[in-house]
Amino acid sequence: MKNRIWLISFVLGSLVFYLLITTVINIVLDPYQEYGWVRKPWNISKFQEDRRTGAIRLIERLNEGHYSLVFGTSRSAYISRETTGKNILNFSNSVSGNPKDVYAVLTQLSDEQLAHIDKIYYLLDRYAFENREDIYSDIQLNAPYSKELESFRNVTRKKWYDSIQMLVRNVSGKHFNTVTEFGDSNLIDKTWTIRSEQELFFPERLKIFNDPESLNALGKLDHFCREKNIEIIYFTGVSHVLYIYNTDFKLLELQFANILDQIDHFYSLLYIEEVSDKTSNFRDWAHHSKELTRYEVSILDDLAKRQRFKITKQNYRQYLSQLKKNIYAYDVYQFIEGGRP
Amino acid sequence: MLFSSYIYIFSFLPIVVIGYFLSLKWLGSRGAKMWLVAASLFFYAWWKLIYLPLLAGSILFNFMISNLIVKWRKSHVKWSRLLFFFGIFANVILLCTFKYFDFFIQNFNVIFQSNFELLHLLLPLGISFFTLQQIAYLVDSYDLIVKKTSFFDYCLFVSFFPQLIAGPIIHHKQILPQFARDDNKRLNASHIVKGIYIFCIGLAKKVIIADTLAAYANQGFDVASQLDFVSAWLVSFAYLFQLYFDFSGYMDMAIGAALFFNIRLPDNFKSPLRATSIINFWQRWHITLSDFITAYLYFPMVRLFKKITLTKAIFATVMAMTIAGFWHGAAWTFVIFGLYHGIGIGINQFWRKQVNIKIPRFLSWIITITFVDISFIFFRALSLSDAVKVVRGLTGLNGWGVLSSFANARSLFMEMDPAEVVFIMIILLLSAFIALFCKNSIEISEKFQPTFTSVTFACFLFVLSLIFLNKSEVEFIYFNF
Repeated sequence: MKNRIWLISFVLGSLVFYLLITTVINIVLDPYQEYGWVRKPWNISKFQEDRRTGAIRLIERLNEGHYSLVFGTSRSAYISRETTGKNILNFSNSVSGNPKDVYAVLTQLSDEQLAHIDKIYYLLDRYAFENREDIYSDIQLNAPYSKELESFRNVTRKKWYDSIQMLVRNVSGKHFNTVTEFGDSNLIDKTWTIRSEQELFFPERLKIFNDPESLNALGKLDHFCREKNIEIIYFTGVSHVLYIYNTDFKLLELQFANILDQIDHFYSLLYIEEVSDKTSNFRDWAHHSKELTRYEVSILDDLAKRQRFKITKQNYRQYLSQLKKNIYAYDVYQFIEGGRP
Repeated sequence: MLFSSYIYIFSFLPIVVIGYFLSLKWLGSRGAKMWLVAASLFFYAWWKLIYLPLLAGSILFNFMISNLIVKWRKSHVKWSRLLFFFGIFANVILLCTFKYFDFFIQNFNVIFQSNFELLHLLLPLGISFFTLQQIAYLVDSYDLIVKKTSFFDYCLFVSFFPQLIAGPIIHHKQILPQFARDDNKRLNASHIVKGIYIFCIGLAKKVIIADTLAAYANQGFDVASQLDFVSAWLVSFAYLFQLYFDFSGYMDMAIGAALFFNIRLPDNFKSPLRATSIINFWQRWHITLSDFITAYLYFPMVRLFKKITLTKAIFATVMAMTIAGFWHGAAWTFVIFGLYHGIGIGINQFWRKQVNIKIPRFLSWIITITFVDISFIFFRALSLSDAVKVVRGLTGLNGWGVLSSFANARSLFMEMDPAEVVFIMIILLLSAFIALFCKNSIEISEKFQPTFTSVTFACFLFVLSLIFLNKSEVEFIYFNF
């Protein structure tokens, strides 16, 4: 072979090989359900799509009709059409709950998209403020989803690994969670424990709630929603008694105070009598069952019901004090397998 | 700018190659060299513009000093000697300031219970390499080995971008005559093709093998105290192969890129993990550094002795290797690394001269690879105590049981995807196979033919590397030195 032919073959061959491998990974395997063109036994179960493309895909749906949006953490990830009967776009897995990210996303929406938002459910739990990688400031969320996917750098090392893993799992019949389905719900994690006082104090969480940028973004976000006439319901999710018992109340007070410096009020569903003490309401230590999620949303949707849980600057200390009393009245060891040691 | 980055592969390298040959055609040899020097300085400045004057200043200073040394070597011997020592001293001071100052202060503070503040200077990229090359040039100027060199030739010798950041450490005699040869001033298709082939091999070594193993090795060294027998050996070998494929991959990319300009850089690796003795290892590993140590550290030390004996030769070896270890980084772990290898070579020399009992080849290899593997634990560990933790694991002091070891090894992967774990183990086995049984890049390069097989193989490696490169560009290990 002549050198010149070798050189041309190298360029063309690389291009063909690249297209081939990209097509196989993206279209034939499609591990994150980005394209959805091929649905065969080898790719029936898929991975949760990555955060960025997930967000872009959901936003595209806002062009089609009216939806309520959900921001938050894994604890709000199960608010869906299935649990509420409404059109929901849940961003808990993609955008998550840091106000900086939420603000970056909302301010990129077009007027038409904003007009299609029915309301926003925004879970403000202890993990919502976690600083995750900043992925929303450098991309155009409104760019057509297909453009993002077609970019040269769409296939990565991670996607390669996930494709193989997905293939192996599907072929071996070992299915796993997908983006649209619930996980192994109603399984109670038997390792629930009671933590010592020392373990309760998480300095890194304090830092999170003191992050001025996130707090500032929460204020700006609230102002933006008022300006655009979008209803936004801030809330903390229902928690199990043991979960609250293991929470640092000093930290909780700081969290409430910081939030209320930025917004007028929110709804604290942390403790609901005869709900928070029922282990069957929870999938694990922190996450809700479908039934509890449904119940939670029914409260948030009912203006009269949710007034009972309204927290403002005036009543938050009293609320926390009462919450502590309620929780400490329980014999929490009843929730631990084997009981009191 | 990393060799394994999109910007380098698809923009910088093609533009510089095309610009070089167009300059040769339109502006002549001098213009082409100027273009290449400018491109090399741009390449360096891409990392941190603020350190460009440091490189430029170092080049200018050493060029002036070496010219004066050569000029006065016969007419003003004393001045010439004074200048020579001043030049060496200035280079060492530069290196010490940026690389070793904080290390000295830290140790001073510990010994004298003082509290002097550290400078926390960012280590300028490639400073160890370009300083070393220029020290060698000064020595050769003093020995009148250097011929008259123009400023641009000198700039090109120091800053030629394929070797600027992490070697190979080149000698002026190896490079400058190549730029002067007329047949090297034309675009050579066979060199371009061979360069692409070697570059693709290097890229794959770095991106597919080294960066994959890095995930496991890093995680292992992060939990050094938990490593038991099996885990510790797995982690240490993962690092050994990571380092080898990272550094030799870089060298292949450097050699491939230099070939585009019709320049043949010196070989730096000849299957070092097949070595059957420590002396043999250093004849195969980072060869240009070994040559430098021998020529500019070992021989001058030996010359100081009036009568050379085996003991004195071993002493010089240990000293030279300890300095070489310290050259790698400002930490006691590197001093130990150098000292350990110095002692190893010393024992090897003693064995050859005094004991002279032939050890079976396979056993020699086992001893050598084990010795080398342990040494690189000190090379990698962030502190001596971390290194000791891993060595404890290797000796079984953290647990021997094979089952518990596997359980522990599995726990190391807790944060990883199962597919990634399987892939890493496959890569570890593959890397061992390639390092021990396959032809090395030099052999491949010598026997390269532009065939259908070679182009298919190059395409495969190139595309796979690009995919692995996406959103995960990782620096070369030797960039830290």
